[in-house]
Amino acid sequence: MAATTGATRFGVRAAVHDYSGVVVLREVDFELRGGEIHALLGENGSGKSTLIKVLTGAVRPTGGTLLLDGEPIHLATPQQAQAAGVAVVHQNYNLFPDLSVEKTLLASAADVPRRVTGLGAVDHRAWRRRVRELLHRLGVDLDPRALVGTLGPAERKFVEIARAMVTEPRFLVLDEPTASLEPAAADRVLTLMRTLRTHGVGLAFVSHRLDEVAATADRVTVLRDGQRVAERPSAGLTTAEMARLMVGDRPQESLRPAVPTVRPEVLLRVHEVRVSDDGGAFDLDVHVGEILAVTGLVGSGAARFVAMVGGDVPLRGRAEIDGRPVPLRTARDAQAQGIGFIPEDRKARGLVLEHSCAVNISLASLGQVATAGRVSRRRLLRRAEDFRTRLDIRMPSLDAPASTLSGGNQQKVLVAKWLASGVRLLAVEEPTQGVDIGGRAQIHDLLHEFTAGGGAVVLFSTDVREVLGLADRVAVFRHGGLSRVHPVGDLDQARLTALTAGEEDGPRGHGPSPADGAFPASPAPPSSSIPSARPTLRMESSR
Amino acid sequence: MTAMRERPVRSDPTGEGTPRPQVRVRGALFDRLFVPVVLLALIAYLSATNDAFFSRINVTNVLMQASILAIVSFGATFVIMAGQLDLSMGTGSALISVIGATVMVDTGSILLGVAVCLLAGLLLGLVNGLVVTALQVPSFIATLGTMIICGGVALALTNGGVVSGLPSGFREVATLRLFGLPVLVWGTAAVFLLLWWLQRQTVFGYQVLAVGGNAEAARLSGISLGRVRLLVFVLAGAATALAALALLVRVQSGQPNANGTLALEAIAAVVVGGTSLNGGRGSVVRTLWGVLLIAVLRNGLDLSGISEDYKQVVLGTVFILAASVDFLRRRLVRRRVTPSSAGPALSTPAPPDPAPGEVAAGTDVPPPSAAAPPR
Repeated sequence: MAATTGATRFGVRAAVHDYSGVVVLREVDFELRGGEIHALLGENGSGKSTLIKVLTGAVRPTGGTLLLDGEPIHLATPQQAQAAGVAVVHQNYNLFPDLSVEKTLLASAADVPRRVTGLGAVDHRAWRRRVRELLHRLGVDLDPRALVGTLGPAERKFVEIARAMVTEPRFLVLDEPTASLEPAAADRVLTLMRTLRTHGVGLAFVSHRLDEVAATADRVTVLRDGQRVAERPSAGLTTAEMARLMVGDRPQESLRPAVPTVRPEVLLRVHEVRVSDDGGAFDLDVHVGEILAVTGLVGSGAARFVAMVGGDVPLRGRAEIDGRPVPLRTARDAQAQGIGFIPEDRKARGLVLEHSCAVNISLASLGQVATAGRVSRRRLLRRAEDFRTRLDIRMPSLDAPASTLSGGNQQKVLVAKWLASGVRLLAVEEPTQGVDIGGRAQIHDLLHEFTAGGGAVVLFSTDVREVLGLADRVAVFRHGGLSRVHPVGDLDQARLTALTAGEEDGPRGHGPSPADGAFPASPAPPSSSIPSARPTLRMESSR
Repeated sequence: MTAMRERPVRSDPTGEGTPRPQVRVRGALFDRLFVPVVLLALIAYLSATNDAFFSRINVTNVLMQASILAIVSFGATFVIMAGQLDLSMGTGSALISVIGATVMVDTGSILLGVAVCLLAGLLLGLVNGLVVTALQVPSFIATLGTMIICGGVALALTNGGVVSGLPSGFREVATLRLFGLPVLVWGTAAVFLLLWWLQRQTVFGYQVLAVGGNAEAARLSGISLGRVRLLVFVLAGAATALAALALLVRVQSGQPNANGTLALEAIAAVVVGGTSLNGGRGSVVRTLWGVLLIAVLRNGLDLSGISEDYKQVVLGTVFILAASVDFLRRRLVRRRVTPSSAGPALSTPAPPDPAPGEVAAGTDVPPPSAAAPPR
């Protein structure tokens, strides 16, 4: 690798960043040295992603200096970062399934071998030789001619890492490289990272699996609420200590209203539902006035279940509302049954961003502001004004496009949309992701108000504190099926985290369950890949 | 984190939210008034330089010429607002004119001919819509196919000749005038009012914009994407039939070779008016301005005596310039924000406000004046 020039350093000093007023980084220092693996830890929303974007030139920080070997540098674009010797491997696959491995790497190569006789055409034979060499150096057994689409998840991650290494960077930043991988595949990726370390490359990586951090990283930086709360060698640091650093000494939030609103009547009952081909079928009830939280790791099926309830994807199984069998195959079905769905990606899937807040609020119930098909603009605006006051939605004007609102206010518009259409059940995905603290509390209040008024909520959230604070019951999903439903009183952060990871589950767990802190601090065989003590679960995006 | 991952539109923390909406509103106003202002400027220029322009004959002539394009463009506006395209409207109207003329000639019944025209138009729209929604063919390909089919059928039915000899009553309709203007112009105005009402006042109009603006959000809000998309194509089919009738009124014969590029001109008119080709943004009113601008410009070129070939060059240039206005506007607005954001937010906006309008108008007015020299 290129990193033969000794220990070099790359990092940022006093990084500050805010997104339209919401501060996400506060004076954060981060330094990456050649030949080390540096883990970056933090809950969702702690500023990890932004810090990575700052380091790779994807975001220009509001304040702070990037330093390369102590010299201030400017990274305005990812290309400049590449030129400075910094490469990035993003969390999600950005690959072309119909291209071969060697062509995929060719697309990001800086200097390509060309044939003089071919008028500068690419010398594919020479290129294939170079790809072979590179893969060999990385210790990866891959056929350069294999199509990316035919590879397994670990191999695809290898291709992404190899693609980043084509430019021979000195520093490699990996955003959750093992997020959606099975334990065995994750191990192979971690092994590759260790190989790169021996070549002198400095690696920074984000992970929520604390055991793999303990086993792989040399140093650990922990972010909390946009601040660096710790930077220390990982030797001697237990996973329990890491978790404590990430969460801090915050008391459990009490979000629940004093008087429980759950009533005995069942609003929605699903029978013999399957969320995946290999997962088992299960039944589940949602009561009037209840908030049922559904949670689980990536691929557990939790997100899929909520999408099924909301009509986003067809329900595999049977559904009853008030004891009456109903179809639940499309969003229209769901709406006809009084179910509203609030998707996780509110910009891409929830709002018509260019349209006014008023129109967005009435989008699911245009018929209610119309007489014989004719929309009354006066009624449309009056209703929007109503919800604006009731939910305290901050918008420049009723006619302002939804894109001009902050995340929390956009979420309120979506809630208003379903309140306006008079639904009885809300299927909500990650309602407070990307929402500031004040907005969070308000959205939580809205959901409580909704259930107090006789509604019910099925909530998918990977934020443990939100789940414990909001829910009446918690349905934990694992391996593509429902594992168990727990009354929230039986759970605390540690226990819920353990349950989603499968530690306390007898028959179906996939490994022994050592107590917290029992992990050896360094090179332990990470075969027991049990993500222990994670206050925050990872996003599930498998659909 | 989803919201955070997006890069903010304007990354500078300009602050309290006051300057942003103001700039936006001004941008919106500029956006809405741009084409009408250019149209007025063009009319002013033409009437100042040419006495013939404002003569009654010429004005009537402009409106008559614009009518067919207008009817087709109004229908196309809905298709484009829903994020689709319909290329079959041109040859479709030629085919329907042939069918309508044949029926009228054979049966002598005007009413039957009109009814057959409308039915044929609805059928064409239904076919387009079903191919797009049920077979999931992209509308560009689907309507390209029906465009070619319609052209072929029209020629096959007539062996390439025109169908003439329409009933005399139909000829009288063509020459009839109400308040000094031909019936055709009034008919076009009626179509405009109907579609304006449909777009601005009905649930359907809102749904079309929602489907074009964000199909996924519309689907999750319980709007049937298939129904809305099918209906916009049926609507376009009806507009195609009306355009065929307008053609029959104007030339008094079924024309298998007419309107070959009409669908493309309609798309141009819609875009010139300021409706977004990406869907979700636009209006029939904007299309009216776009159609009038093209009609007046074409008339001005006619009056200036420029050759037909160069006329095409000028028109093509104007299409491109008009479509780039959206981009220019955004750039101008952004440029204006950046310097003022350094100081107190509200100190600067007032003086630079008129500038972008002038600059942009300045950049876009040249085409007509550039066309003027050979007068």
